[in-house]
Amino acid sequence: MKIEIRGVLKSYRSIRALDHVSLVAESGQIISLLGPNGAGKTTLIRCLAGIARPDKGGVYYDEQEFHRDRMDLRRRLHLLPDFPCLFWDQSVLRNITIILHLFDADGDGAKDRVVELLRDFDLLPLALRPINSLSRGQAYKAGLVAMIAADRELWLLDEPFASGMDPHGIDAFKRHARNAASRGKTIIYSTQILDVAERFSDRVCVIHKGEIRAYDTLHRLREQAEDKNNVLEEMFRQLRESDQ
Amino acid sequence: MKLHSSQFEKDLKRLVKQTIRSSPELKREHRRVKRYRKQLNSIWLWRLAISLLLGFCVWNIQLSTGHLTTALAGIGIFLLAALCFRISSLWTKLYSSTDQFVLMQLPLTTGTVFRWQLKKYFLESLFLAVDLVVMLAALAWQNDFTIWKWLCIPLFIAVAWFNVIGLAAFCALRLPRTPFQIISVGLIAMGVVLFFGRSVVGPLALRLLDGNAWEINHLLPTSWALAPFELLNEPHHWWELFAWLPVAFVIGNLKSCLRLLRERMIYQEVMLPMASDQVPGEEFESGPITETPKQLGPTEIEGIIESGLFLKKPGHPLRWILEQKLWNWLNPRERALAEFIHPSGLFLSATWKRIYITLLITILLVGLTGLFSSLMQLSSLGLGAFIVFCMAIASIANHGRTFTTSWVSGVNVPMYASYGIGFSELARFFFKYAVVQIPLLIGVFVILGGVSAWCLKQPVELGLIFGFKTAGLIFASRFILVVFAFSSGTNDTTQFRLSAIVLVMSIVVLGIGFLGLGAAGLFVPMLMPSFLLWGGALIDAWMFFWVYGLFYRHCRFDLMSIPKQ
Repeated sequence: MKIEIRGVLKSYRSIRALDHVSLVAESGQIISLLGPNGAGKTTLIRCLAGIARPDKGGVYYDEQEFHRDRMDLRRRLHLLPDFPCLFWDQSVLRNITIILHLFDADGDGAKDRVVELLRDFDLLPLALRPINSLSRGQAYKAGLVAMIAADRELWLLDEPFASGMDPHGIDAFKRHARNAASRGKTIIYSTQILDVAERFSDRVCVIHKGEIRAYDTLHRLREQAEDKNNVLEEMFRQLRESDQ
Repeated sequence: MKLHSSQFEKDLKRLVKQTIRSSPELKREHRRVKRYRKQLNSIWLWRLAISLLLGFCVWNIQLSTGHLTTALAGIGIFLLAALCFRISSLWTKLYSSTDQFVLMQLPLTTGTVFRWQLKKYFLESLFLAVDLVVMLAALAWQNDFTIWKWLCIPLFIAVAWFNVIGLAAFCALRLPRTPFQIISVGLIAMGVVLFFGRSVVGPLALRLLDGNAWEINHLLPTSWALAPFELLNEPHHWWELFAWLPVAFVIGNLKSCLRLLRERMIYQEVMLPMASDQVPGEEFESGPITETPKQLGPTEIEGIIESGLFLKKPGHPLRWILEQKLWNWLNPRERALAEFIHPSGLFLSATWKRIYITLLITILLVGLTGLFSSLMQLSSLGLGAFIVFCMAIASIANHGRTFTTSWVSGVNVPMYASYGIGFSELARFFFKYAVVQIPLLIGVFVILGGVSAWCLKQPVELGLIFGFKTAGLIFASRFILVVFAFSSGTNDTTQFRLSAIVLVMSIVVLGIGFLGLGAAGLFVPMLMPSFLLWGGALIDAWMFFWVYGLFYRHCRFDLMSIPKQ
């Protein structure tokens, strides 16, 4: 799925959350959105998911303009916010089932996929427990398992590495995301953790005050940087200095 | 009760301002994010203006009709709207206020938090007392009350105010929440219609109010407190004092209602450590912590998943014919939506069973109380009809979990927006969900209409027709309520722009049209014109939905809203 953002402008009252943002992402990539708090990362994810509607510009999937009525396009992507929208009184399995039904992903192989994912994320013993009896990290994992099981073309994740998941869960997520990218899926996630972005992304998109300050592969960014070992840290330091 | 130090807050603010002023960079940033203009605290003035407007309306009602009873009926209807607001407010303050969540994190007992929230509720409710002061003063002035009669007015204000507060506590405790918001919005809309369209519908509304004033004063629980007000004009109507008997019960019950509301205010951590497993295909009770939870081992769970039972649709058994009919009518996509909207299963029959039991109890009470007093009979009918109406509208307008919002990065996002679910498919499901309930809805209101006609000594067939038309309007309100539900999860009208203005104007015009046509359809005495007007109301309701659908698809608003205090 080719993703194209063309001159998206989005304001919340007097705050310009996204200022004529444009970028293109080919399928099969893991893209990390980086930026200080309030930079516009979450707004960008919301625009991609159709929750926020751009004031100007547009989002295009495979050259087709995406808006909230394009359910065919909407069902090709899956959004996982920092606090997943789940039914808290229902079991992990029931939540996964409802999501699979919604995305029409309950066909052949669904049960094997679900068992494997639950095992991978250490959720198998908790599969029949209501979500509200789980910890935040476990609840997030339940949303993540549903997302991976539904296996859409575009995964949108808001701060997955600040979700309370344990190291094993994070590792499992990275593994599945890598696997999905190799199968042509696109994964876009936001994060504040520079180390993670350096190691776990094909492309890095640095947003600051609603503008894209850098969007390239880490390799290319490293070539341009003075401190080759701390590319992103140096970039953030420069952004801060430019503000002052 | 003092939960914070205002001095500390002032000092902190001053320090923050000083720090911002000292740095050009911070000053720039502060200017950039200064979103909210300082708002004048004009709400008090607005509220007082509304009170004066109410006094003016009551004055005019008596001036136009020449009857104190009619003016009191008008106040009773206003108090009904106020009651609905009070119930919603009480619910919000006690169970869903963001303040409460914050307070619970502090080292305070639940009792302290409850009292703090209740105090805010009572303070807010004082506006209602101001309304009563203005309205009753207007009546006293018009009726040339003597000084002794003027001195009685504070008593009526106190009784009426406590009656509303007592009823609000009772309803918040015993009845579902949603209908009260709907009724209050409906009554306000009706008030707006009457005010702006007074030259057109005013005379008809006044005639209706005048013709039914006595019944309204004795049927509406909110009117009971003011029914004896007539004694000040006509002292020989001593039996009006009986209306204070149920009021005394309501006020006497207030303390125990508040105690029970307090008991319900249990702060719960999100985590329930000892929950039982929810095995697909088996009954389970959601939520409660059990001492011996049923928890299966990984092998058993794996076996259950491998069996594929969890993927079965429906996820819960459909025991009754109503649920089965609905399920058979749904297409595969709508079945997936049904699972999403009602994850705990479809429970239509159980709801309607409760409604019919309530109706039966009402009829029995009406029959029994009729043996003693017609006033008690009408009061029972009013209360029963009110409860049945609320339950029926709650069942017809049940949105399940669709519009439940999740707090996501500082904004509220409705559940449906997080997944690939569209406006039309959801609306289609809700329509089918309401349609299967039509026979039961008509049944309830036709019976209720017949009983009401019998009590009011009107031709029974008129009551049956009235009940049928009421059922039709409740069904039509489904179209309107779904729009409000969609709108509640968006910022469609929060920004000042042309599309928002056009949307609001369209909705107001069509909403007024529905209320006007609906009211006319119910009360116009000629059969054929009344049915034509009623049909017009049904079409208007559909138009309301259709117009919003156009805006939903094409307007520039987000499927999220800023959390409100």
